[in-house]
Order: sequence, then C-alpha cells, then structure tokens
Amino acid sequence: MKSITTYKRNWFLFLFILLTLSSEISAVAFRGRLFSRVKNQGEAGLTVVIVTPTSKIPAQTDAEGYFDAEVPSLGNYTFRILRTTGIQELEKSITADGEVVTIYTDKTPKPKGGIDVEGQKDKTILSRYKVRYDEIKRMPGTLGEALNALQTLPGVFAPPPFAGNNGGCFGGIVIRGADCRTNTYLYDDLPIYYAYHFDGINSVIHNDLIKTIDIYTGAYPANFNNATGGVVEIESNEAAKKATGSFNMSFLLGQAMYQTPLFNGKGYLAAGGKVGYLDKTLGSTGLVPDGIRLPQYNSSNVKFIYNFNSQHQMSFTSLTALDGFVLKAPGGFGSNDPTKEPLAAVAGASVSAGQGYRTMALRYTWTPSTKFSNRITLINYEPFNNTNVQFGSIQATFRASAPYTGVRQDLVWNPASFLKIDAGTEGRVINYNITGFSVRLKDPNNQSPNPYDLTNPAFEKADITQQTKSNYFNAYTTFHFTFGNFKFEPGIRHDYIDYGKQGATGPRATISYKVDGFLKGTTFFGGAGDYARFPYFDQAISRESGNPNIQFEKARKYGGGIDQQITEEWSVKGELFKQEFTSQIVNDPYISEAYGLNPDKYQRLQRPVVTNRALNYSNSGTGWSHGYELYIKKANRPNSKDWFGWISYTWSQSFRNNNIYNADYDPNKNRILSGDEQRLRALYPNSRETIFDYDITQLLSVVYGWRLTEEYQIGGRWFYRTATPYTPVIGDDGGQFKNPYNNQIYWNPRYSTNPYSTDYTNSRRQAPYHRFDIRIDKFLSYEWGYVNLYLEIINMYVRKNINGESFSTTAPYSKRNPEPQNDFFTLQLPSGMLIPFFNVGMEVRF
Amino acid sequence: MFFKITLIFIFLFQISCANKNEKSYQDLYALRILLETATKAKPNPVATCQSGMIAMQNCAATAPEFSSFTLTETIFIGSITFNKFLTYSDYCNETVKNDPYRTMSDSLKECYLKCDFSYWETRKKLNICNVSYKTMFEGSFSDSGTSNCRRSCVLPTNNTP
Repeated sequence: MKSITTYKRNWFLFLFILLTLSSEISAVAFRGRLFSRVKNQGEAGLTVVIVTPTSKIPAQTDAEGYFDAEVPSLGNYTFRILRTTGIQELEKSITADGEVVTIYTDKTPKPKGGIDVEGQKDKTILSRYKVRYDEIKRMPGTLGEALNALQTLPGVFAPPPFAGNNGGCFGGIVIRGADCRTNTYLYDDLPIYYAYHFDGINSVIHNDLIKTIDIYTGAYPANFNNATGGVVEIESNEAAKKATGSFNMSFLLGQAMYQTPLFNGKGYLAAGGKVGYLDKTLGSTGLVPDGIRLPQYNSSNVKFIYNFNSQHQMSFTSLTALDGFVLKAPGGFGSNDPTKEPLAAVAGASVSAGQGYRTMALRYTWTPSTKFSNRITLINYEPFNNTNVQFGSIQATFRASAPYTGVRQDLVWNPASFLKIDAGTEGRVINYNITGFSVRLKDPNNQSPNPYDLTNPAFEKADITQQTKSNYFNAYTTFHFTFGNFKFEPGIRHDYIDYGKQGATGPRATISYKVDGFLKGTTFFGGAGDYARFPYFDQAISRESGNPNIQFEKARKYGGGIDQQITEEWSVKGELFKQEFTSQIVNDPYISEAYGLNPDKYQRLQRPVVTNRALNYSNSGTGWSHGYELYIKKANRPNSKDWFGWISYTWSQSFRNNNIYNADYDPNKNRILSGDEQRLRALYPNSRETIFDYDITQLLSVVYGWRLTEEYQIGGRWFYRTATPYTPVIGDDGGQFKNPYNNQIYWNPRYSTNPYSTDYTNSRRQAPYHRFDIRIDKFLSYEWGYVNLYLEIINMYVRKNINGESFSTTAPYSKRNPEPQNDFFTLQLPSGMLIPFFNVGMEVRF
Repeated sequence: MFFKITLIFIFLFQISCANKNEKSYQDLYALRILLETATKAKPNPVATCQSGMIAMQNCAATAPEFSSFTLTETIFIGSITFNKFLTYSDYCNETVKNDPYRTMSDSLKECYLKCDFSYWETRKKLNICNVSYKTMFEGSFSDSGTSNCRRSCVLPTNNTP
C-alpha cells in the first residue's frame, strides 16, 4: 500500500515539475502581409521585427509578402521593416487571434471609390480552439498524428471503438456531448468523409500538409454548415519557399510528402500520401487470430496553386481515402475447444467491409483590392461504403454512395473600418445510391431469428438497389462590427433541400468585449445560434427504405465565458455552454404515410400498394448537453526552445430521448394490440430520457512539450476521463441456436427492458480512464535536412483501462461472462505481464 | 355521436391548416391517426364472429358432408362443436374469451375474425366450396391470403389494403 502511495505521489510530483519548469509565455497567432500600394503587390523577402514591450519578434515575408508570427496579446504593435535602404516603422493593431493583418508599406492616393485592405475571414473567440502544427506534430500519445491532438482540447474526446448502442464510432470524436456522427470535417473548406482510418489512430490527412487546425466546439460561424456537433477546420500550407519533402515510417504506417514552389514562385505543388500496413506488421506477429486481415488503408492529398498575379489565383485540390477490412472465420475448430477459439462465435462467417471518399475541387480566388475578395469553388465529392457479409442465412452485398457536384462562392468585403461582411452561396446536385442486396427478416414478428438455419432460413435477400436525387442550396452572411474593443457578429444561413422541400434557417450571433487594464487584458464573450444538419449519406432519407420527408436535425447552442491574458505567454479561458438537440433522426417503427408503393419489391406484382407504408425513420429524437470548460495555456514562439503546454478541463452532462413508444414499458404489455391501436398508442411516446452513449462527466488533459537541445525534444501527456456509460448484460436467451459450421451453441445476451431498473440502458460505467504518454525525439541534422527518430510510450504506468463489457456468445451468462473489455493500449505478454503500448518511428526531412 | 362528428370536423380543420402552414409530417401523421381512430366504429368481435359463422355456413352448405340436407345454424354449429353450442351467438361469445383471442384487444379480435369471414366469403365467390369441410377449414390456417390478412392486423405498418 505504501509503495502504491509513493508511486502515485511521484507521478503527481513529476507532473508538477513538468508544469512549472518555466514561466515564459506567448499567445496570439496572426498572419501579416506587407503590401505595396504603389506596386500593387506583396513585398517579398523582407525581415519584419515586431516590437513588444518585452521582446522583439523577427519574421520573414514570403513570395507574396506574407509572414506568420505570434504576439503576447491583442493590441497595438510597432512593425519594424528592415530594408537595405533603411528601417521603416509602422503601427498596426492585432484585434483577433488568427487574424490576417495587411500592413501598407507606402501611401498612394486612393482612386475615388477605391478600397482599403484586409485579408480573410475573422475568427470568433467563442467556443474555438486553435492548435498550431508545430505544437501538435510531436505530441505524445498521438502516434505521430497531429489530428489526434484535438482530443486534448476542452470538450473533445475520442470514444472507445464499439462504445455506445449504435455500433460505435470508429475514428470519430465527440464534441460537447454531441453525437460523433454530427461533426463536419473540412480541409481548406472542402469536405472529407471521415478524419481517421479504420484503426481509429491514423488520420486521412498528411501531417506535414497541415498548417493549423481550428475546432469549433459550440456556436460556430455561419459559413460552416451541416453540423449539430462541432466543426474541425484544417488549413493547409499555401506556399513553400523551397522544395522540401519528408518520409516517415513507423510500426503502423508509412507516409511521404513533397512540396515545391513552381513557376518562379507563382505556383505551389504539395502532394502527400499514407499507406497503412498493420496487416503486415502486427498481422505477422501471430497475435491476430487466423481469418482476420487487419485494416488496409491508404490516403492521398494533392494541392496545386497558381497565382496569375496578386489578384487572380487558381487552385486544384484532390483528397482521397480508402479503407478495407476482411474477416474469414474458419469453419471448424483447431483446438477442439470452442471457448478457446477466438472466432468460434462467427465460425464460417465471411465479412469484407470498406469505406472511402474522393474530393476534387477547382477554386478560383479573385482579390481585386485589399478590401474585397471572392472565391468560387467547383466541388466533386463522393463518399462511399462497401459491405459484403455472408454468415449463415445472412447474405448482404451492396455499395452505398452519396456523391454530389456543387458550386460554392464565398466573399469577404470590408465596406467600412468598423464593418466586415462574409457572404456565400452554394448549389449542389446530390445523390444517394445503393446497389446490391441486403438482408431482411422473413417474418418481421420473429423476435429471435436463427441466423444458422439454412434449411428454413429466417432471413432472405432483398434487392435494395435505389437512387435518390435532389438539389441542395444554401446561403449565408455574417456581419462583423467592431467598435473599439467591442465586437458584435450577427449572422444567418439558410439551407434548403428540394427533395423533401425542407429548409432550415439558422440565425446566430456572437458578442465580445475586451477590457484593458487587468493583467494583459480580459475579454468577455458570448453567443448563441440555431444549427442544422441533413443526413445526406444515410438510409433515413431514402425514398425506398427511408423517409423522404425527413427534416433537418437541429441544435440550439449557447455559450459564454471569459478569456484572460495573464502574461504574454500564459492565458486562461473559461466557458459555460448548453446545447439543445431537437428533430434528431431515430428509428421509428410506427411512423408511416397513409398509403404507398409496397416497399417489398418481390411482392409488388401481387400487392402493389400498401396502407400505412412504413417510413422507418422520424425526427422524434431530442436531447441536451451542458457543462463548463477551463483551458489554461502556456504558449511558446514557433521553433523556439521554450516549452509549451496546456491544461484543459471539462465538466459536462449529455442526455437523449428517442420519444418513441415501446411496448415493453407499457403497463398493459400483455395485451396484444391491433396495428390501429399500436399506431394510436405510439402517438404517446413512453421512452425515458437516458444518459447519452458518449456522455462523460469529467475530462482532463495535461500537455507538455519541450525542445531540450538541438538534438532532443521530450513531451508528455496525461489525461483522465469518466468512463462512457454502457448497458449491462443481465442474462442470455438460453442458447437457442447452434452454428452448423462448428456445432457451437450461440447465446444471445439479454438486456433490461425496464426503464426504471438500475440495469437499464446506459446505467453503468466502468472505472475512470486515465493514462500517461511520453514521447522522446532525437534529431540528427545533415546538410540536406534532418532525421527524426522517435520513441513513443503510451500508458506509461500500465493502467488497465476498461472500455466496457464484452459478452462472449459462445458461453452462457455467468459471473465471468461478460468480462471487462480492456483498452487497446495495454499489452499483455503470454506470461501475463503487462507492458505499455509503444511506437517507434523515423522521419526523414529534406 | 354529436361529439364524434365535432371531433372529426376539428381534425379535418387542423389537417387543412397544417397543410397550409407546411406543418411537420409528424403532426400530419398524428392527425391522420387520430382521425382514423375517431371515424372507426367501436369494435364488436362477437358480431364479426357471427358474420363469419354465417359465411362459413353458406360455403359449407355445398360441402359433401352437408350437401345432402338443408344446413341450419343449429345443425351446423352443433355439428362442428359436438353440440356444445346451438347458436352462433353463444359460440361467438365464448370463443372471443378463449385462446387464441384471450389476450387480444377487441380491435385485434375483430380484425382476425374479419380475416376468417373474408376467407369464407372469397371461397363462396370463387365457387370453391364443393370440397370437404375439413379441407376448407384446415385451409383457413394455411391460406396465404388469410395469413397475410392476420399479419396485417397486428402490424402497425405496411398493411394490406
């Protein structure tokens, strides 16, 4: 006991030391541009020194006159421009984090009606967190994936695979208690279907092509759409001073990147790719059961930019990803002991599944003056899923895709010094296609179908080929009013789907006020808005098997808080939030239209029309989440040897209610009702509000990174979270079926149907999840570049984190079945010894 | 009756308003279900059972077992219940209280019994009542139309018109 106490105390001491090693600070990142009005172009190759009260920050302009820098806080700064002819000093205010500031280096009488400068969209302070690539690239516990670092920010976590009651959330993140499927991921404002490959570890974007990542966890601006959760906005590089490349190999995957300036600096090309080979590395260790081929995947990102001149720019972007997984379980036993065969429950099964997407975009940007810019993007996007299953009498082979082609326009205009306007429109032709066969129960009243019965199968193949076409339009505008330290940003957007004649209008606004005087400045902010999401790639919208009247899912988000700059480097941000979810799409066995075409294609000849045609899905679901967040950050200067880190803490609650009638809870459930009576009864839902699948009460992350010397860098990350809720197994069905491939009896788990029972849906949690990860980097510098060798140790103190329960269908319910499901990051050797998960890798940069 | 008519008019008015205001499909669905319920007569499974028995008798009258004499209610019910019942009324009152109808609601009982009625009526219309009563009676359990009809009774969606 004493040793455990000492052990824990040592860890706390270590964390404390990590956090207090330094007291230097910084905070506001911005992009500047030196622009000559005389030449009507950016000033390239100049050194700019930003003079702060305590330091001088140097920066270099690129071919277009841009430079990136960080200042300690928002405010007025002197920009010292070093020229061969002498020094020029100019004053300019930095008013927002992430702002693009244009500094005019000369004065030319403006033509009448001419306009002043300014770059791109203002970014809100409310519910937005920004991470720089250099801060997250080498973050421990991310397995080299910059995107994984999002999980250290307030209100954000990645649920364990298979958690929840809807098949899990592979590679998704949960933001402030919203469903992980309701986020939007954007790469340079272009859609990506999913952020992570099948393994849930590696992202679909090459690390070195990421410049910054902004995550909007609450009320987000009007230019983003289709998210009732959050928005992840990844920005890529737009220029390179010289040709560079990198090659990175680790246990999990290989990735390569090359970027180069073209056409004397007028053009830029970047290409990156990844190939996962877990099937070749981990798959060849013998630790994976025969018959399982671990996920194979690849992804690519290509970007080409050409600047005709300072006013006209064209760019082309291509993003692809493809993931596949295969399982072919042997038909018999190797060990003659079904309970020791890992695939005994699914013997004879054959499954192959895949998903992918392709995004291609051609973009033209017109910047006739520094006060106006307009962007037109032609987008072709196709997400798809492939499913191929054969298991007993269950057979399904189909491909589903939801391609669209669209044109989008976004403009930014500065009509006055106190006002900036963003506005945009978009039109898309969208499709929802399924080709192939699925499986369906022969008798819908059969509560316990036997999947193994091949003589009189309980399931049959059903042709589900279908095509649903529609047009989609949207328009948005945001006004950014700035009066001194006061900012007011009202916005509105409207989305319209002509397929179901559904529209959603979303007004929103944020307000902020900065008070100077206390430390380095205090900003008060708040905002609210209505947000909508339409499930374009979902069976719910299908004319054939879904509900063509389905409406947008909606969320109303509120938030407010304080951002305090303590010193130039330290800042604290606290925020309260609430989200109300309405019109959530749920499976609804009662909703129907008065009559319609028989959904069963095989029966259409005999019975072409049915009454009360099932729509299967409705917008009955509701829910809410609320909580508060605290974010303490210590920043450093990019590429400095200073340390950086942050602590983020979130307390939240999230609940859901499907608002569906469930006969199991009906006090008169023993009375069999007619269809008419059931429909009437279903108008009065009796489902209970339950804790949401991905509800976690407490979430704490501590992040630390320090470049010790030219040769070494270390980083540490500790995080703690409440376990996700789960529904306990309370028994089995008595083992009614037998798998003919191996004569294995199949025990179906049983769950509580009593909403007032302590065993009901999501009523239990395992012990909290916490772990400590470290990463050590060694850099070997050469004339042509450098080699970065790294070792990452995940779960240093070998905690046996438990994700939930695992019920083996090859054995009856007992004290040992179900058993706790351990986390992936604890490895157990055959001797029973536990070791931490580790990753070694090498990056070559030239 | 006055209350019911008033209720129907209220629902019709609401549906009309809902359509004009582009109300949610869920509200329209709820109004439709309420309207259907309000316009439906109170279920009377005993009366439906009696109608079914009459239809059964009409068809069975041409079956070889009964074709040699005039088939009356008393003879028919007496012969198929071994003289336990002598009227359809008594038989039906007892039948709807016992299995398989015991746990069913009146509405479901009526629907099931209508399926039986329909079976016998259809046979009569198609003029296929001249086979043995036993065959026809057993056929009522295996007939796909009757099975579909019964399934439709209990399903909340995709019903047979």
